Amino acid sequence: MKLAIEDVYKSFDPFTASSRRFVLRGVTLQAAQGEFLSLLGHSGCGKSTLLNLVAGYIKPDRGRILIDGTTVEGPGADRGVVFQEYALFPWYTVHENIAFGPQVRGVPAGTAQEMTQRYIALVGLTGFEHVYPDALSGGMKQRVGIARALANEPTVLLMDEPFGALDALTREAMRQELLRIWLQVRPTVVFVTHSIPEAVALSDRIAVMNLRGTLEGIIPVDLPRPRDSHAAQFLEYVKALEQMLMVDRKSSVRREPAALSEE
Amino acid sequence: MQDVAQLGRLRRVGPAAVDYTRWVTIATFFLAWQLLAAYNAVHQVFNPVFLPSPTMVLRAGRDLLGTGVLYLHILQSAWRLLIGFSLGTSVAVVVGILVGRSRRLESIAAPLLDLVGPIPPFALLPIFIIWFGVGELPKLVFIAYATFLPVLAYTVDGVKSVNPLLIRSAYSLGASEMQIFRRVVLKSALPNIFVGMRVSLALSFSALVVAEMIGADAGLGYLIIDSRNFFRMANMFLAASLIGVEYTLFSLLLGRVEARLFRWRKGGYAHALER
Ligand SMILES: Nc1ncnc2c1ncn2[C@@H]1O[C@H](COP(=O)(O)OP(=O)(O)OP(=O)(O)O)[C@@H](O)[C@H]1O
Ligand SMILES: [Mg+2]
Repeated sequence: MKLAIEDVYKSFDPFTASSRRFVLRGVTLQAAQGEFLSLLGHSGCGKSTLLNLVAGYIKPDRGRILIDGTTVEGPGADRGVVFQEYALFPWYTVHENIAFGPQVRGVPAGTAQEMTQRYIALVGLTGFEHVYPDALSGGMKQRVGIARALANEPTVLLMDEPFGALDALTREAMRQELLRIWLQVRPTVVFVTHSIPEAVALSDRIAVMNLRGTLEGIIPVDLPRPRDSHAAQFLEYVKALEQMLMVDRKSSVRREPAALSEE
Repeated sequence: MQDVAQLGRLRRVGPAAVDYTRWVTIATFFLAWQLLAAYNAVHQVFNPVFLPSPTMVLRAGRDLLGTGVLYLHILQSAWRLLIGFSLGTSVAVVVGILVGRSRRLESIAAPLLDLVGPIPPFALLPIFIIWFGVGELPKLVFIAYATFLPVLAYTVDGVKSVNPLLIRSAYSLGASEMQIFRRVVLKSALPNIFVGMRVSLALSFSALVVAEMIGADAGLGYLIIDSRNFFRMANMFLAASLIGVEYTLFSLLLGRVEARLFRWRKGGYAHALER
């Protein structure tokens, strides 16, 4: 397994608190080499928390996260991250942003240059090398974000709602771009989204999270790519997932006051 | 339609129009000064010695240039300012980054700054002179000290307001602490540091003049005091103007460096609308 999440618990309350609210309670999940795995769930169910744990920005209270069999201790270049807010370095040009990873890891200048050019071409930004991020559209910024993460050739690519800030048309285009890039480079991807069609269109498997901090289930999507979002089979997946999430919302609404009085 | 008309009106108040007014204002100022002095020289509204005309100031400049001492004063002041300002800025940036990065250090530094900050640097000059003697050192330390506090405050603020997402993404790209410091924290704080330098530049110049007025034997501040002792009003006006010129030049230089460094930085009011 490229990525193994083993029985992970996470609370943001201090250890000393009399009762702690756990955002994640006992999440176990794996991703195989080259797999496209999506995390789907309502807002606040802990998708970003799980991704930040894998990225190493925060630490689990219990359980562990393994990359290629090694426990995650902190952030590292083996896990590339793409942020919803792009998080590009505004003082660097497109080229300098993408070259950042190879440069800081000490890749020889010539090789770094060649890699950077290759990934600029891959995301279709040739001709924009010397532009600053400020002058790019949202879709182009995220292309830079993806290229920057990929230029490090990470073991796992973590994406937290990467298209969340884009309009519907751009979002659809970027979805297809991501699919094309993924098929070409074949990284292992963990993709956070709350869009059901997006998850069905892209994923090998979809991990559905609920508001209780556990996995509601894992749905493998057995459809050939590219997937037609109007096809009957596609819509069936969408419906099944909608139902799973609906159940969660109902049960959580009933549960919420109890959970509050517990604290 | 109305919007278009409005944009047209905005367009006409472009940089060219502003520059034109600017030169007219400046020319009028000197002309009025010249006329006032000339009128006063004849009608003696007040003692004409008090207000030399611009041409008299220029003549004084020419005479001083002729003896060669003017260069000495100009260079002495420029050199003092450069050393003192650079020293104060460098120390402030280093300290500011250390303080901005560590909450512990900040909680130690903050009360100290609250303690020392409200004291105008000029109040400390005599103390500096007693500590560091009467030579060049107290003057440089004094100018550096006047520069130090604003740059420090702005640097700390800049370091603290670095977007944490950028630090996260740098870590995930494999950057080391040192690389994050140089490529993210410093880069991000630099515009702020320059704001601090701008604020400080005015203070450094004041400090320079005060330091040169007390126990110096060269420099534009010294020239003012020396001229006062001999009641050479034109020389005093000359020295004051030259300090203004030096300040303008340093300020322009700083602006040039900023424009160079912050080409990436578009934003603020000026970029909100296309004019
Ligand atoms: N730093 C934090 N401190 C305290 N609580 C936090 C922190 N980060 C997240 N939480 C809480 O953890 C829960 C899960 O948050 P998380 O951001 O992981 O949700 P999400 O599934 O990514 O939601 P969204 O789809 O809106 O992004 C929320 O209740 C949130 O309030
Ligand atoms: Mg989130």
